Amino acid sequence: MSADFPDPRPVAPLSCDAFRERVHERDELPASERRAFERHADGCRPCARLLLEVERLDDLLLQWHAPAPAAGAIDDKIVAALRGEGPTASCAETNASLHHFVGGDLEPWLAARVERHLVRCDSCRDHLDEVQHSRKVWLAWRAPDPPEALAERIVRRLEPATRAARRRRRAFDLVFGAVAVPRVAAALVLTSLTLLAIGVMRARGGGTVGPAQQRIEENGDTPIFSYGQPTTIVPLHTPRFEAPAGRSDATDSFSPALWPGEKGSLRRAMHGH
Amino acid sequence: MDDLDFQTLELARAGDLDAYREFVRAYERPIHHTVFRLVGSRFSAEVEDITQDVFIKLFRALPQFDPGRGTKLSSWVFTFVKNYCFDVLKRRRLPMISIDAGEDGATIPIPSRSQGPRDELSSREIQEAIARAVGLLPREQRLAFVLREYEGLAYAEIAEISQCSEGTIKSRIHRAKEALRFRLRRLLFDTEGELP
Repeated sequence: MSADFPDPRPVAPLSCDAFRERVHERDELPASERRAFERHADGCRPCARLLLEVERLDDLLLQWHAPAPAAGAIDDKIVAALRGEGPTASCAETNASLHHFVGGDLEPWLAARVERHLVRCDSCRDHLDEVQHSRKVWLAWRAPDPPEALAERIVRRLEPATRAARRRRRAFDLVFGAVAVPRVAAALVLTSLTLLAIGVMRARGGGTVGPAQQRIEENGDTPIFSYGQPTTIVPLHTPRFEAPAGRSDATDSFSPALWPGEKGSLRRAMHGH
Repeated sequence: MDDLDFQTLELARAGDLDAYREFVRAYERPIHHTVFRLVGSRFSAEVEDITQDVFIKLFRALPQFDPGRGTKLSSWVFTFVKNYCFDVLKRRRLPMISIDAGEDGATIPIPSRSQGPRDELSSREIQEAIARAVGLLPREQRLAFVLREYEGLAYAEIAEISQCSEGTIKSRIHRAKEALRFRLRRLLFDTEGELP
């Protein structure tokens, strides 16, 4: 909401107690509560003083974690406070730091200031008493202990998942494991080289001559085909069968039944022995 | 809370279930207590299930924990607890708690005045009243308060878990304690304005 156009909605008045409760979380209040808070601080002098003190304390708290000062550079005020000298804490500062004081979390020099104030302020001693009692109350809150078998139940729930993970890991190792990897790699390289060699031979049009082709070449026949050359159809070399002695009909046909008793004639005719 | 020895932690990180059993035994009490206090009495029946789920998640994430980074194991563990509990609260769509809740004391069941809080601090009614009062805290305040007051974690650790500065944590704890003091005020007084 712009400052030129103030929110016209009415603001519910805030009590001093409510103000006191909100003073530590003033920066996080929603807009409507924030306006009520500020309006109360404008109209109530003690609460305005409290707000001022709390803001001062917040500044001090922010200094808690400042880098440690170099030796000899410690603030004189801190040294004086630790010695029990110098100004004591105000009521507002004391009230705002009592929880840390009771919990032992206050810096020693701040605690010394608060202690000296508590010695002479009855009201703040009452407040201290209340803070101590409230702490005693909430520390009495007991949480139930876990059941005895909790660890076993958790491990039992984990076992199937662990087994499945182990199976996955084993399958992975089998394929990509330390032992299998060189074997697989070697097989892949070998296959690649073989394929490459075949490809190169085909590209050159050469290659090893097989026995069938060699025989054809020895007989002076044109091969049926050769790599890289057009295919030519040639008549196959077919042996002529000579008629056995006493038979005059030379024929290409073959029928063992024609020459009964002439076993092996086909083999002899084809191979000459 | 004792951190595990290095060897057990390494075995647990490698997936050894016996080592993880030791891990669970070391952390089951603080985690169970913290879950109970964070999710509140409304889910008290589910605290064990939530604790188990947290441990299952921890087991799966444990290999990612790197002790060399300087993170304490307890901080890392409680970060999981926080995230899981906040997820649970978010999933169940718990209403956001107003800072005014319980201001009049009517929302918190108060035990009868005849019972002196000093004598019967562990009585069931008072336990419920405290649980209710803590449950009314905003969750970030509740987390900081629970980890500090009940688990004794250092401010720096809580800051790491909550991913904010130590100053913010101190401020949250202070606000939580002030709110509790107001809400539990009627537990403290037998008669108006006087301590028992």
